[in-house]
Amino acid sequence: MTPPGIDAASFAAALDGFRAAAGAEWVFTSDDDVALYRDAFSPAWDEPEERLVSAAVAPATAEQVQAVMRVANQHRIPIYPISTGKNLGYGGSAPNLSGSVILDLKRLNRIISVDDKRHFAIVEPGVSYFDLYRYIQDNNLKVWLDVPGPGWGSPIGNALDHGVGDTWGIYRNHFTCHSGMEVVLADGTLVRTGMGALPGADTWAEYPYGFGPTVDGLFAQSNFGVVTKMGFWLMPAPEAYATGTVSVAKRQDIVGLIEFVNMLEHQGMCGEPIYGSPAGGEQAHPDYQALIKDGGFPSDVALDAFALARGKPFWSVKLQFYGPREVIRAQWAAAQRLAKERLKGVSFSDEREIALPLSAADRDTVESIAFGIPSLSAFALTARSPRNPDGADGHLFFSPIIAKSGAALMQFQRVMWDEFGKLGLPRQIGPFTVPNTWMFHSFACLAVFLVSRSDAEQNRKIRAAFHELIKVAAAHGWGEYRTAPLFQDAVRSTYNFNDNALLHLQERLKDAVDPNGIVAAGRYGIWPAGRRPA
Amino acid sequence: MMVSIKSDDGRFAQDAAPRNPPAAGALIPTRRTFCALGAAAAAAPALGFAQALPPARQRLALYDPLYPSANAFAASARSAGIASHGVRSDVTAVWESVLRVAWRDPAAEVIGMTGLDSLFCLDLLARDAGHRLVFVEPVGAELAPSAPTLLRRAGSSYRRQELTMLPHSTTTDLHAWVIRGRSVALAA
Repeated sequence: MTPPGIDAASFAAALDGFRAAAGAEWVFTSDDDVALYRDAFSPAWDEPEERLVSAAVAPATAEQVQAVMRVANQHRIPIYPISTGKNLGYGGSAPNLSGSVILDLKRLNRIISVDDKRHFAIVEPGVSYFDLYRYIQDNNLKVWLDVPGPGWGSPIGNALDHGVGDTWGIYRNHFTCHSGMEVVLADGTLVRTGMGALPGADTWAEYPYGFGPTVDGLFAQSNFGVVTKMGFWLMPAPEAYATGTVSVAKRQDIVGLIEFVNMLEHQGMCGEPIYGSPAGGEQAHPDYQALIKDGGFPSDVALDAFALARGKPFWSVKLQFYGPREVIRAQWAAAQRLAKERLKGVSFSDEREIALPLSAADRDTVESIAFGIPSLSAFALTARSPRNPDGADGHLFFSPIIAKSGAALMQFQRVMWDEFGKLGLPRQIGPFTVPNTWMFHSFACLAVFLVSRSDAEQNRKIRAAFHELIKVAAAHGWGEYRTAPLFQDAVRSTYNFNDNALLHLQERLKDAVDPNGIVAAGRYGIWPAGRRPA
Repeated sequence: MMVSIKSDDGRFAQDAAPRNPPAAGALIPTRRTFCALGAAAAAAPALGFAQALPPARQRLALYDPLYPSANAFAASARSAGIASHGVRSDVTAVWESVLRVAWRDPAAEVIGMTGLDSLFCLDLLARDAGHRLVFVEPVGAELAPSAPTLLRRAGSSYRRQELTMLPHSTTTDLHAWVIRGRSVALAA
């Protein structure tokens, strides 16, 4: 395979240039090597729609990245940068444009700095959460990471895709808590943003804005350059952790419960709240199955009666507190007092306090992600095993953003219930669906589609359903916060205020910064002039 | 926080590394030597196989103790002098404590009998370390290979392996597999 529009001779010359830039052994062209960059969770496996790559080059330094970009620019070779390439569920390491050359940044794996007095880190894109966690532990540094589900990803790659985690407020939004970047532009120019632009400044990873307009956002979910260093704020290691669960009885109580939790969280009284539905755990019961047998959304009265009969609260939220012991005890006590004042019939359970750092015994009993400890346990959720008999070859996330309110959640449940029914899909969104709470000021509500490497028909149905859900969600003002390349044009088309004014601005910027359109063509719907859909 | 992992013979991970690295000029596997040794191994009785194993500088076995077949596989590995480590679905701990170090050696060979949930992660982690999944096959309860048999079946061949879930009608999720260094695999 050669990149689209590139003849074999030009491609060969470009590959020679890449070899000169990064070393011959770090340019990969064999089928065996190139195939490793397929999206392992692709919902178009072995179909024409699958996005494939022509080659890969793995430089080891920013200077080598600059050299690679100059070669790519000279020969008009489309480049698709990846950090560790583990964005599974959102496209993995596969590009938007088939035939692109992967710019694999795994060898840029230096941890530049971790400071546990001022609480920041500066890393390169090939550093994984595992690497950074190990470095912090090995050096006994008193800072925590905030990690996404799988720990093999890169803090830079995750932040640039607007990835999220599960500890405390601002740290969960990985792009928000970045500070300063080093970026290689398409023409090989090296740029530093924020305080990184001031030679000699030692506040790169602390004050994000520097002076003048900030441009950092242009390098996230986009294709304006290749990020080769990035600073992040880190959370000081807390002394203790506490948790307690607040439960309410009825379905409509979710309105007050979410308002209550918003009030706590937005003033810094708790970490990530984890919503649940104890009644929802009873969905296999014949009484509930009888309620939904005609496909209609059950009434609140019927649902409340079901929950009452099963002896389960309708909703719960697990509150998490991080800090000095006396503070987190007081926070939990205050949370209970405020809940009693605001919520009718509220109850409390599952109180627990844990001294930190975690003992080996405690570690076996907690979700490591709430403690900033990277793991790969999430993958037991997808692959089939005796522990997970319904597993599949991979998964795809449908992940729209909705407002942080009970009303929005319940509307989302009803709309998606109907839509999944119309599409003939199992209703994975229903009256018990709870929101994901990674973002500080909004909810994401996920649906997960299981994909196959051997059943193309199933994958086609999933892709068609996914496209339909994008449209239906957008019609209600719910937009995807992140998606795989296969769906980025579709999602992009929904962010279309004023005749796509935002996209047109991004395209003008793209044309100015990358006139040959070599960086990640099509990423997040931003295509270079020569490849722009009519 | 680090997790210490003991191999099944009681050694800690760092102790499971080879105590006697090959001297200069020691046999490093090539297509020819692998084939020759593979043929010798095929002829060797099971109990005497340890002496005939191809000389990977470092060989480890992983197994999922949930499966009786995998436990038998681990026992056969130990009999052949191969340190074995249990893995239950989440490979994080064994990767952090064992594989991360082992895979610094391009000649390391990791064999295993696990579910696909573990193998999927091991496959991707191996790629990042410059190693490749070179052989994989489903394991039926009555057909479970011993560690030496697995090595014999894998031989020296290298064909890119793509993991695909078995149909739900299939009775097993257990797979036997071999991961080798990319340079070793491609040279075969």
